[in-house]
Amino acid sequence: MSDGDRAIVQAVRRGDREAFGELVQTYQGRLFGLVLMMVRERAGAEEVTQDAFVRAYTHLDQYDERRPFYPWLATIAVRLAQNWLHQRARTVRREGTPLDSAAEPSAEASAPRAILAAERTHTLWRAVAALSSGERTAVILYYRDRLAVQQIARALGVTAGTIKTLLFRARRHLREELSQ
Amino acid sequence: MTCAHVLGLIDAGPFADYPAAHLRAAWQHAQQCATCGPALAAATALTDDLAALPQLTPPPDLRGTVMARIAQLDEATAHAEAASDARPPSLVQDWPAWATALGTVSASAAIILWMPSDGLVGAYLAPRLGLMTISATAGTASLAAGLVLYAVGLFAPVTTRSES
Repeated sequence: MSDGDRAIVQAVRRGDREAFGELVQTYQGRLFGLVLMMVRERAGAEEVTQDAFVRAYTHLDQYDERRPFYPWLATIAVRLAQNWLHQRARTVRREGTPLDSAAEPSAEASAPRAILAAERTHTLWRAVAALSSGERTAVILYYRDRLAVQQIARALGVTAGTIKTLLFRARRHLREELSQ
Repeated sequence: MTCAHVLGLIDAGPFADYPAAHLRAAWQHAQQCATCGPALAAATALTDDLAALPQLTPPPDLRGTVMARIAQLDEATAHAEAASDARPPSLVQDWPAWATALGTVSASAAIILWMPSDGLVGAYLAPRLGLMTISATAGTASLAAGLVLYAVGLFAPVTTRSES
């Protein structure tokens, strides 16, 4: 954990609520990107990202200051995103929409188009968005957010071997997708 | 280091997990190998591209929304604590105290009424106070009921009062 983050967390623990806003400011981009890639719907990603920050605030007493802050925050967000996806799947099943179509990247998932100028980056985003949920999450957390395999395993509630397998499959799929 | 080693390394897992010496040996082999060189270069480029994926722009009001929700939560918690401190314990919340009192009275009454008729209470005090001695069965039942109420009063407050 950086000294800045530690100081902010300590301030929040002392009752300085507004200090938490600095953590939100610092990590909102990374977290929102992670959640959007998981849930692939902008409104859902906003909801889950908000919930993750609020839960981090209310459970700050459980956070170990000796560890980096982002992996802890990402773990909360990943769990909430998984719950969101399960709830959505139940709703879709109840309302009779085929699950396959719900799992496809929606129009919202192409939001990076407006943001990303480079065509290669855009192509890569699309390829990442087309991965399975587990592969996508592992790729974003490992390559972009630079979490260790063990940290990702903890966040997703699986073994490190499973994460390595997900990354292996993801790379293979990405290579295939990008070579087309 | 052979082609099988290097290609296996490319496929096997995240590069960061390998010892630096292992990766250096693989690079040295790949630089001289027409098969492994392009494969390793492609894999490294993919890793670099993924690491360089830009962050998505979050909603502009995300911070404000989160802070507003946190403020609401804090206020709700403060109100709940203040209300809890200010409210006197109601009779319902304090029922174990009532149970204790009732149990004590019932048990005492049962003991007095169950005294043998030739004892001090049965022979002397009861007639003068207008009390009637009752049968042994009724007395036992009254005593048991009283003791049950007394026990409830003794043990229930531990959870009920801490919850309230």
